[in-house]
Amino acid sequence: MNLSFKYRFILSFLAIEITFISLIVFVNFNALSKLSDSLIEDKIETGTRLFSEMIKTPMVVYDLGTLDNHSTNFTHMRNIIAVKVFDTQQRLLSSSNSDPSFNIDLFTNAKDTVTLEGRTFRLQTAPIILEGEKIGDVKILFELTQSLKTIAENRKITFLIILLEIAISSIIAYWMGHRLTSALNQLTLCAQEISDEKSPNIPDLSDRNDELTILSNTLQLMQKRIDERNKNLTTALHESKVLNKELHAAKEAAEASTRAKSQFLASMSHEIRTPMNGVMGMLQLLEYSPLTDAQRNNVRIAQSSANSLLGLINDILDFSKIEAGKMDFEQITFDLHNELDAFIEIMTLKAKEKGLELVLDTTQLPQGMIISDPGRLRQILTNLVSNAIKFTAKGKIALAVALKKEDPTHGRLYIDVTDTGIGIAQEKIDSLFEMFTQADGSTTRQYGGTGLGLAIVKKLSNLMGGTVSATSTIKEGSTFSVNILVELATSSTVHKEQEVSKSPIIDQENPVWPSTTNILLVDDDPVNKMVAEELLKVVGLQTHTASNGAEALEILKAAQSKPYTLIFMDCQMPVMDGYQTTHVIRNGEAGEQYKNIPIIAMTANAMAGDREKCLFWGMNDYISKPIDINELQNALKEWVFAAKEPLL
Amino acid sequence: MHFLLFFFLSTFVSFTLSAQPLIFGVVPQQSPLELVKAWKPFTDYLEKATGEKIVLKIERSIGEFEKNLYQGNYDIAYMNPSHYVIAHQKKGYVAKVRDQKNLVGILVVRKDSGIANISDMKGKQFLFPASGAFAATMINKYELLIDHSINIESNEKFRYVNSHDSVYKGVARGLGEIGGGIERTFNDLNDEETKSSLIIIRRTKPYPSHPIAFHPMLPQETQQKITQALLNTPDSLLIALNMKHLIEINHAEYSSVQSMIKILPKAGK
Repeated sequence: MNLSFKYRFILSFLAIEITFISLIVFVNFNALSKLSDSLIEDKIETGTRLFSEMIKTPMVVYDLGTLDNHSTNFTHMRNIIAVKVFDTQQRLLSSSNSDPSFNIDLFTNAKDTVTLEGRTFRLQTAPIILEGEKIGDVKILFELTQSLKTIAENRKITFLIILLEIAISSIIAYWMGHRLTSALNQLTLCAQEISDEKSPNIPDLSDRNDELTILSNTLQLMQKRIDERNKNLTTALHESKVLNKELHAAKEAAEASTRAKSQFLASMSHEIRTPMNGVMGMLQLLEYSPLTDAQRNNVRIAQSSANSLLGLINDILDFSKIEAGKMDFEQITFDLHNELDAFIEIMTLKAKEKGLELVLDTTQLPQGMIISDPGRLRQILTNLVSNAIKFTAKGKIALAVALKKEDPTHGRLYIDVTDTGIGIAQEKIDSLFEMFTQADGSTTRQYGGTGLGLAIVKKLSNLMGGTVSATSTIKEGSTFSVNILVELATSSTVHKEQEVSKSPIIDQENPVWPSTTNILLVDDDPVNKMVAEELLKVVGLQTHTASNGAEALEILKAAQSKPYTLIFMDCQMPVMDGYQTTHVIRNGEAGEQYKNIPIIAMTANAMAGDREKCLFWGMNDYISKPIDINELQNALKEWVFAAKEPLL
Repeated sequence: MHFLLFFFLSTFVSFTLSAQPLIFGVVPQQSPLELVKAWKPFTDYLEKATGEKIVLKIERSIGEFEKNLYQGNYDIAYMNPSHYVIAHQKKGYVAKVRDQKNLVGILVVRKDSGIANISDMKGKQFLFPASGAFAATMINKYELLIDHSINIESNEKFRYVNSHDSVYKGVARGLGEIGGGIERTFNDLNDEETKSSLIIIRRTKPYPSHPIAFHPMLPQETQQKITQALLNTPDSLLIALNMKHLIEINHAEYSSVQSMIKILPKAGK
């Protein structure tokens, strides 16, 4: 049934009311009825006994006068209609009747009541017993009409009162239910409106002073709180938007800052390398000119200093890159044996200069083919071995490299560099790998260096999935250990590049260049242009130059009779940069014959990715500034002769 | 109720004795309450008339009255003739005054009883009020014996039923066949059903009614004074006592009663 609360309230109220009243009435009437029955019985019993006692004495002596008096008096009592007294021989001794219209002899001696002419009677007979002997009988006719009438009237009045009570309580229940539900409905409506995000006027029920008042007050409070919360939320939302904007701005700023930092690093790299290219190029050129021995020595010292400076710059750049999270690692397949042989060859020269012995131990390196970053690996090795040479006065330096397989595709490379040098105090070993730290401040003065070397080694090995450690004894020597994680290469994954890593070329003979060789050098920096020009001259080649891409294109177009066979291309130039120029040439804008001309990038952009960028734009090779003459010669050898062959 | 009143009165009486009042005993032939109601105005009159302190004394029963009377405990006493005869004999009480009317006993039967003659009475059930009832019991027994040789005391069935009314009712309702009473009570019977069913079949000769007698020790002048007062009693006071008019008498009037006592030995005991 879908009854409203009001009707359920009223119905349940009435149901309970009626149930309990009926129960009370039933119980009461039952009790009343029993009581009245017993009262009537008592009355009859008492009357009978009283009369029996009264008439005993006169009966014994047949004092009928007294007997008649008693009978008359008895029948004058209320509700006693008639009486008859008999002796043992059933002779009537006395009789009295207060209402002659009812003859006692018409009533049978029954416990049941008899109704006659709307009146109710009961005939009672009892023996008269004196000292255990029956002396007669008495018949008494009682009238119960009055008693029963009283009970019936009582019952009627009770029913009337109950009806009245139910009527009144129904009205009250209806009124209360109505009042309650109307208040509840009002509040429900308000709650609905609140949930619809409206702000209704909540009825003030405080005059009721009941639970509904509390509910109403609570609802009001709730509404107030919701309003406050909404307001706060709006404010918070606004604030959060502002904050988000600020965060976004901060992020932008941070990203911009990072970009600026990267840009700065790139610029630094480029801007430092450019003059260094000039310095070193000129020193190299100076070396090839006729000099006195003292002059030649000076040039060598200057060259050495310039190399140191370049190394220093490279270290700082590397470190900056690591710190900026800009350090990238290549994954190249190469033969570690070859790499180590080449490395040892170079380092042996340096060691010999100090009269030291350099030993390579690869007994624990059965397989040399690995996939890793050979450049970074060389950097680690160079740092460690250079350090060892630097801090060792006499004796020997041992480089031990071992590879242990960790799973089918990965291995761990263990590198130990042991020297017989000055050694490091135990307590200072831990701080060795921190930035800008050397074992002793004084060593800086004695041995030089930025103190970045070991820090870079640590960072690199960490980035390559490994660790560094050192053990040392003062005045006896130290061992620096590095391990890094490498991928194991199958022979099929061997890259052609391994062949590119050539044996070091030291001052080799210039080849005989083909007569058709005609080289165009494109660079905007006059010093660099001159250095490159002079270096090519040393290598034995004449060049034409252009200051930017646009100029280069003009020159190329103009040189139809004797076309250029190779272009050295700087990347960053005004008017038209190297990438753009290369792209245009490859598109044939400089002429059909130049579409496949070898173009070698010659740039101070030495950051990771620069080489790939050059190749992406269509260049064939890449030489970084400062230009190393050997490197230049090798590139020329490859591309001058290669250009002879028809390109695919 | 009656008993309670009686107790109260007897206590009152015993208190007043110490003040040397005159004790007036009355035979309790009716209920004590009725007797007090009837006799108190009378004794009050006597007190006033004589200046003597007179206390009405009504005993619990006739037996008690007889005992007191025969011990001479009353200064003045109202009693039935047979009591007087014995009291005179035992203590010398002297009758001075009585109601002018005489006592006549009657015998009643049911009209439909078939008893018409005295001879029919033999072997029947008699009802009398009490053994000492002078007219209703004693005179009837005496005359039946003397006149008709019917010796009820020895040969007939009889029962005492306490009152004249009971005698009449008893005969009417068949408890007895012949009942002894007196004319006045029969006439006064307010039970018409009973009365109409009965008939008087015999009347006795007239006998002097109940005397008022003095104790012999009471001073003569007091006796004289009281006798005078009694004789002067207004008749209106006597109605309640079922008397008409008091007359002066002497002992000799009761000689017939004396001979009756001798023949009916049980009567005065």
